[in-house]
Amino acid sequence: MLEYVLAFLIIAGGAFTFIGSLGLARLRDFYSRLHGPTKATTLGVGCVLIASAVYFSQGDQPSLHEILITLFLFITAPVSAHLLAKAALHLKLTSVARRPESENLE
Amino acid sequence: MSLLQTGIDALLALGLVWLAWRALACPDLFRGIVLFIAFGLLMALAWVRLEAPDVALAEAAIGAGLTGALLLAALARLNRIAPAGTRADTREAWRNAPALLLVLAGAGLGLAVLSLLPEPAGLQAQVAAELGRSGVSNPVTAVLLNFRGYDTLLEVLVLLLALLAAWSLEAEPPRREAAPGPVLDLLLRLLLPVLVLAAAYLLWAGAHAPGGAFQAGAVLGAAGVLALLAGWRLQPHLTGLPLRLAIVIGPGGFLLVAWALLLTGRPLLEYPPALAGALILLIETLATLSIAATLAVLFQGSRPAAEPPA
Amino acid sequence: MIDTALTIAFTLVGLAVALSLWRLLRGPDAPDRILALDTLYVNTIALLVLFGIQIDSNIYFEAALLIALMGFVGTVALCKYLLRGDIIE
Repeated sequence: MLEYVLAFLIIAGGAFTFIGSLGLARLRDFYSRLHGPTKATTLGVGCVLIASAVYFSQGDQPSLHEILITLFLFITAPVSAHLLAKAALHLKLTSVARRPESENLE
Repeated sequence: MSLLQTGIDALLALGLVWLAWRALACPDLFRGIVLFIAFGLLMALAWVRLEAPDVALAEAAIGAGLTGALLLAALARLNRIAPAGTRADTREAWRNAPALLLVLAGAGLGLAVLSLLPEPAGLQAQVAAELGRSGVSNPVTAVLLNFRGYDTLLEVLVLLLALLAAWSLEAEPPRREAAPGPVLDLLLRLLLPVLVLAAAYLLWAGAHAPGGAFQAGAVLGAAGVLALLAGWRLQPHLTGLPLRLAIVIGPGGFLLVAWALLLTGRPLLEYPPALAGALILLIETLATLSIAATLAVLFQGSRPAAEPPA
Repeated sequence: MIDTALTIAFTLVGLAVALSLWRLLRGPDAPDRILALDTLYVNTIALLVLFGIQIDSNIYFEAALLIALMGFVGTVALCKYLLRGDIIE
């Protein structure tokens, strides 16, 4: 049973990682590309890390290393994305989105 | 599985050569730095594939991490001194000279590797035989801190020399107090304890697993870099003597231990086996502090002003 | 069972590395390259953890942790440079 859970987590992790990078490579402008890695890839590596934590906890003691990396990635990924978006806005990168209707949005 | 591994190895090898070439050849220095960091990252993976976890760890800490930050600091300073566009064009001939040197050095290395015995005996047997008396159980740490401790002593001193060189170039212009960004500031309050914990863990783990002073120092130094990026500054009363003490305590402590051992009539850095573990931990702890302080201060660039900015 | 899953995951993450490298080299803008580098960090961590499961050893855990830490510092420094033209204002 555990083996199925592990296999599922590992494949899900690989799939999300791949989808995140696919988004990075394929989407049309920077602001869309920001979505792929910061969400899907983080989720993907999260799945892989949880799989690893479960796998190495099968012995006598639980493996907490992976939880530390997962926590760290989940705390820092939004901050990286925030800074990247700020940098892109600062450099006035072109977006494929329509301009907002209201001028009050800055 | 083996076909897949060949594929991943091929991707790594091709990616490394391509990144190295692009990093060297692209005219935009910022892009070059980004590519250089990516190169360090793939290099760490390559060391993992070559089953050298200690080297992979060092490459991840220094190649993929702090060297990039230091290069970026250098680029920022270059822009201050000579904005892009005002710099004199490096002549083609001079750009090719380092390339020629690198090709020659590469060819020499290749010849050296090819002239090795097919199955070199190495020193693993000797290290394994003496490991019990070294005070640690990780053979890499045993070699770096005990059997060839003078190498590491010199490495720590080289770092100090680099800092002296950077400090002697230019004194710090008085800087205005930067307003820390709210996001980074809050994050840093959460993250700083984690980073200190991770550094302590790496330092402690070095005795029996990959890790040690350089990796721990790099993590602690990265914490310092992050703090500088978030706009945190050392209190002016700490930038004088306390900072200098932190910088020299590692090499200084190392030298003191070496000296004390010489005075007891032992050869250079040959620890008594009973004390070896404790001495290595002491040296590594002090070295971690100094490496961290040196790296963070190098990132800031010039000597911090002792008096508060006007 | 786990071996099959690992093979599939290795293939997917290997492809992800290739895609990130492609974006890294193509750009077109500086933030694109930083984003690609950030993704490359995360992909590398996934590869390291998968290697660890495959060889049944957590000897690469420290490397994965360090890459996570250093990746974040690198991304912040690069973004700050773009935002200010200088990293320490």
